[in-house]
Amino acid sequence: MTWTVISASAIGTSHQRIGLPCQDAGDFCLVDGDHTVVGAIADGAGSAMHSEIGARAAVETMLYLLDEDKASLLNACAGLSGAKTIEPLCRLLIRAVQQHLTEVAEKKDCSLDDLACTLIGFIASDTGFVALQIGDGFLVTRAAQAGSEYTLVFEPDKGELANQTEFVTSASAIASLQIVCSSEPVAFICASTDGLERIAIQFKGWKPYPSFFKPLEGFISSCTLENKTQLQAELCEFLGSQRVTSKTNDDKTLLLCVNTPSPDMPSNDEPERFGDKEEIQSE
Amino acid sequence: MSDSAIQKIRLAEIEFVDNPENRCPVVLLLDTSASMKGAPIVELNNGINRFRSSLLEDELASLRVEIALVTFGGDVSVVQDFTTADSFDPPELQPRGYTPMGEAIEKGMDILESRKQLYKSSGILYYRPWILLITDGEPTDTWESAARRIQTAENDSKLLFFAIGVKDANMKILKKIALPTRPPMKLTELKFEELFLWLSASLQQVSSGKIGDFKALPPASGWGEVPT
Repeated sequence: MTWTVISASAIGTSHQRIGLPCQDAGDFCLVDGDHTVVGAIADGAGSAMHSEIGARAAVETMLYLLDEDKASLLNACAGLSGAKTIEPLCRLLIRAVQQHLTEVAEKKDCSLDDLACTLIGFIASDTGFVALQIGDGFLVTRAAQAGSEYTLVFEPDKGELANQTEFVTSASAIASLQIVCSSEPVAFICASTDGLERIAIQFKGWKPYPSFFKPLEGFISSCTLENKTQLQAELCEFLGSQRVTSKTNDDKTLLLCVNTPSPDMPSNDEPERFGDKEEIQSE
Repeated sequence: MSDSAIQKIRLAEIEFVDNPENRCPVVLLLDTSASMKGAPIVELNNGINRFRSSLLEDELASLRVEIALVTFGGDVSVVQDFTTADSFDPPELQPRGYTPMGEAIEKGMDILESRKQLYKSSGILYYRPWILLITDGEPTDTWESAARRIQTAENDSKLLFFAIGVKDANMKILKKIALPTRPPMKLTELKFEELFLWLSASLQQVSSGKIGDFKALPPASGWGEVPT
């Protein structure tokens, strides 16, 4: 089984209007010869001065750390080193992200709060799935088992205000960290910032809307090496379409992953591919 | 070529959830005691009407801001339960009687609490609620426990409480009700209209933002000042 991933972000109309940049960031990397996917998305706070830089730095660091720790994370899923180890491991990841953001803030001569952003990270292989989330945005998966339904991985924080936002830069970030670790493999992953929440998740009961996710899964499942660039463009076009922007004025990010049987024998010595930064090499 | 056609259909096939709009509940606690007679009550009524028309000018705010009016003059009365601006028909307020401010605060908190329960059970997301108290006098009932309730809620970021004194209002008591971080304001002359335009602008700003992502409010300098 190998992973296919597409990601796209689009600026919100409210950001365009007041001259703010797109403060969402999302990226992924495929490792172990595409058998494992590592993904992260972040939504920079509208009120923070350099949150687009914070979001990008948080995503990059998260991807790097998840890749570094992939063996321990996936072992924890399989129960190899005890499920209890996953929580301290994830807390360390977040502390390392905070540490990196602190360094970015020092270099940029701004405060850590100026880099405020939410953060979702995950790692998925044939043998397990680990995800963590601080703040809003959503992660929806469908288990590999046939007939499985779409699941919202993390319910929103049960604070006084529904959907209260936490940032990875806040003092309460670690306390609000949500973690999932499962040995049940997932076949489909959709990570998104909260810009699409209103149209994708049914607020009553917090359920993913199947009529939203099923076509998306069909879309990513049809992705091949040949049409990937085109699908990427189509996803961008969709996020910027009037149909979507009439429902949400916020920035939007979609990171779609699907795990399908390998088209041909994958070779394990394939180079690691980070997001779209490196062009996929055809032999 | 046919591949791309299939994918286009697939993205177009995506259906959206029709979730209810986010809401921003606002409770106005209005002193309608006998001392408000004359120009103050006239200006207060005008201000509330201006508030409504200003909210209606903002499409999002008119859908999201929900207003409730509680008066305290003689007795405490919910003269308007929570409603959005389009169906808000402000009643003509008449001054009479004493100033049961403590009871009015309790009432405002109670109706807010049940409104939030309704939001939760209906899957409606809401912004931090606002309570705005306007008085020209001082409470004629016990107000201390109501004040504690307000302060606890505001300290827990469960609401925003604004106290506004008109003319000879007892600012010392208002200071004991409001949090030191959000001290009571003194209305300049009878600038109710400016006050309500500020409220409308603040709510438009809050209700278009991300829930929990708090931005600074517009300055209140056009209608009031913090008394020293």
